[in-house]
Amino acid sequence: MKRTSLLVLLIPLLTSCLKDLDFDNVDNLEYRGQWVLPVLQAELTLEDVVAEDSTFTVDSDGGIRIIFEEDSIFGASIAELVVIPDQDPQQIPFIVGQTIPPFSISLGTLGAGEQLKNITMAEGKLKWSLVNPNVSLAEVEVAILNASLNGDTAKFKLIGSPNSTSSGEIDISGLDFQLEKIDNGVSTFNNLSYRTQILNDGGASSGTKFDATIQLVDIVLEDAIGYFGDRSVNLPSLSQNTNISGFESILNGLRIENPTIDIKMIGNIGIPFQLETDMDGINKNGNVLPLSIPPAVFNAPTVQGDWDTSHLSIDRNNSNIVDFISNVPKSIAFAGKVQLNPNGNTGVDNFITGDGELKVGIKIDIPLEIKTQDLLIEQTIQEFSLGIEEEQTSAIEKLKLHFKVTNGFPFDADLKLVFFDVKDDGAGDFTVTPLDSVDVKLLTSAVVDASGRVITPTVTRSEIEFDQENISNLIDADRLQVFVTLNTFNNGNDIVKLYTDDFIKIVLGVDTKLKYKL
Amino acid sequence: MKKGLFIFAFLFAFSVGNAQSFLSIYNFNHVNQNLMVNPASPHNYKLVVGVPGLGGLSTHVNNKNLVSFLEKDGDPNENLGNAINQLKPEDRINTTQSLDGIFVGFKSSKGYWTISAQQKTDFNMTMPGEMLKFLYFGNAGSGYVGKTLDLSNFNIEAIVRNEYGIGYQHKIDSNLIIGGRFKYISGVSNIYTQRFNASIYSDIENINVNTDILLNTSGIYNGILDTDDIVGYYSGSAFSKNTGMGFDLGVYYKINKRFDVSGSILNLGWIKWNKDLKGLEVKGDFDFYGVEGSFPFDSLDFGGFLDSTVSRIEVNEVDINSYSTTLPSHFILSGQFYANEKNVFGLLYQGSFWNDRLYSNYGVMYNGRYSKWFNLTLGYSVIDNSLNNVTLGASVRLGAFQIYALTDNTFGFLNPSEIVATNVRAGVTISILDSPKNNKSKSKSKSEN
Repeated sequence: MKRTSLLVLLIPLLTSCLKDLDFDNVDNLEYRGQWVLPVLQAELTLEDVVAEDSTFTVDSDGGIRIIFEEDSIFGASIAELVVIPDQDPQQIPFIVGQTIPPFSISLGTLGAGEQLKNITMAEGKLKWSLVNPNVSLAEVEVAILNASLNGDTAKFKLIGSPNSTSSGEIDISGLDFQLEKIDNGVSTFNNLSYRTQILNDGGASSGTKFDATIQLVDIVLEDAIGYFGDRSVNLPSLSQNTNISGFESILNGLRIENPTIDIKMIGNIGIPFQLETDMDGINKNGNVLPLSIPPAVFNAPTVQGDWDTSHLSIDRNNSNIVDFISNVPKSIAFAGKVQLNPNGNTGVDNFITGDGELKVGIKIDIPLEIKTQDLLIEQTIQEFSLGIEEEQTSAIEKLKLHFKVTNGFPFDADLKLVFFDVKDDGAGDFTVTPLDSVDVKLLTSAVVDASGRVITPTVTRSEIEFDQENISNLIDADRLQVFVTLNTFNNGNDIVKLYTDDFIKIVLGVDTKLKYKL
Repeated sequence: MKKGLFIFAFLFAFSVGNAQSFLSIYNFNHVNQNLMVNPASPHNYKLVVGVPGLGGLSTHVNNKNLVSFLEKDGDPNENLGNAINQLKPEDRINTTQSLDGIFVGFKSSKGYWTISAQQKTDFNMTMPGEMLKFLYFGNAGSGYVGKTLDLSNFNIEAIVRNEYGIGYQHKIDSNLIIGGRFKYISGVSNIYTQRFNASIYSDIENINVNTDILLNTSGIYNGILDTDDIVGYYSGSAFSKNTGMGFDLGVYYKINKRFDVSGSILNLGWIKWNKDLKGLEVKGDFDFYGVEGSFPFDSLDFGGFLDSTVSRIEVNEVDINSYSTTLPSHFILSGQFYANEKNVFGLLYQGSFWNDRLYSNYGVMYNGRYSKWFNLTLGYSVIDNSLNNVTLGASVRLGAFQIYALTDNTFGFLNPSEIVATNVRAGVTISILDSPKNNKSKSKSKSEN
């Protein structure tokens, strides 16, 4: 009743007002508030970054270094270092009624001056064939007098079928060869001594000839002693991503003052070698810069069971490492070769054993002791949108971003934003057109002491003001490219050091005047 | 849809605002219901019976120009901005509505009795002008960057009640009349600001919001909000556990043939709220410095961060104990000049107390006492500092039936967007005038209507 009465009273009131009021005005209402508001407060200390990324290590004084370490960029097996090639077939005539005296041949090698004293085969085969012209089965024996298996001289029985050529393979894994022969105090190496005899001639008449061949093939050594020659072994090439935080966005302008690389060779094989490494650093733009370094020498243990660790330290004095690191390699390509016994036969036996192992590792140590001159960091936001509809492009009359930066980093920084319009032609191609750009001096370097360490942070207040055209372009933009230019303290002329307590605090506020159609 | 929403908002704004004014009816004693605002008002009725539901309905509207954006002339945005800019800290939204269920008045030997039952609604709210400016113009546009917007003067109060009154006026002598009314009150529902402490500080580095608000309610939760039968809830509260009492007092003095003075005090009383109590507490504070980004900055969820920040202010329904509220009280002073028997001019002042503030209305009225069957009032009043209030009212007798209607803002009907305050009263009564003999004696007392 109350409501009805009220409405009855309002009816003439409202109907009389209709001629004065225009409800279509509702369509013209806009929100025109002007706001000054905080938007973002972000703080970053290098300690946070270091904690998140295992490539960083912290010195006792808080100094930061980037450590890139790979324990085994390549390794080598015994099979790669000491190679016994397939031996040439050895002709052995068996003649009924005749005894063939023992004979010696030299073990075939790669011809690098190898002088082997003892080898044990992890794998290997004795291939044989036997021609039997007789009508009955024939049996012959081949003994390798300086080889043994489980303490017995290695003997192999070859059986020839009647009137045919028989062949076969005998597994000689585990066969131990004593390849050094000393006659009258003179040693010869790589010696193989054979003895042959007919075990069963099958009733063949005297003078019947059984032609046989033997051949040692597919030899893989388990251990070896001797001189393995001065052979050169090529290493497989590989590429390793550095994955160093922040480096991926740096284009140029960085100079790391004291980087070092340590190449570590560790192994229990008794072969001294020289490692000649080819390292190419490839940066974000594909620029390749080789690292020129001296060869690394592995001295090798002299006693079986011992391990040796040899290092090659690369620094600014023996290489172009400063340029190499300052190229900001996104990846490093490794290749090279191993020169065995670079000093020739020194009289000290080389050895390899079944558990022999050799690893070549690398440790890149980059103390963050740097100098930047116009260091350019670029980041592209490929799909950028403010989410404002086209008809509301005038929704923002004024936009001013206020930055208050408390800078505890020894860098000046300038910011440049570039907005792009990206048009799809429908055929998969895109036309990218720059619309606008905005520059701002974002922050001023903290003050550093003589050692390059920050002693006093600075506070920088700066603004980016977008006029109507800027705002329209910003709303229209489909892609945003952000460039940050960094210069170390004193316009990039001073070397600075980064520590975990370096920090930056950014407070971003916005001053905007809206004209938003409701 | 959007336009419909705005039309609805317009109706709402138009129908809830009010600066309650009794000026038009105070001296218009042709309508016996003026005893409700002036218990000592002289009159010549022997018996008056209000037609239930029609005996008297008064309502008041005030839109404080907030719908001026609908005006055909000018830029609607500028009109709205100007309207918001003109809001003052003392501005309020005030609406009252009363409906006579029973109104009976009858003469006794030296006095006049009235028995009444009214359903009344009072709604008072400080117009949060600064808050509206803050929101509409923004903190920069409203000049609040680096300053605190103090909302602690905000107050809201709503009372829905049934009043059962018995009034009596007594003629002390031929010139002096006193009157009074006792009212038994049954409260239906109430919203009362127990405490309201709130502030907003903002600058480019920080927004601080602090609130400590407690609104007491009765008959809202478990009542109006939670019932499917609001009418049933109202009718069931005809005599509820929310009890109170009130008094209206009045005095009239005829100085001489040309002048009289009078005054009244209305609504001295209170209600104790006991039924369906619930408190709405808004408490907490937060500082917003922007989205807090921390390494590795892989997520900057502005909306989520803002939500979690704002959620530090908790809104809870809490249990509360019984509480008492005073009635919105008023006092009225008047002086009249009788040019002759048919033409009377009066000056009036009405003071209303709320939120520790005195709200004043001033008026000058003309009463034309042309005949028994037709009387007219014209006036001009300043209501809530608004100058554009022209009163027009009339009563017409058709036999025993009397029809009356009054408004404090005649021009407002012609240009609603300019209305600040309008007071509409209308009703139908059955009334019997006092006998000629008695009239004669009344004429001697020079207190003729």
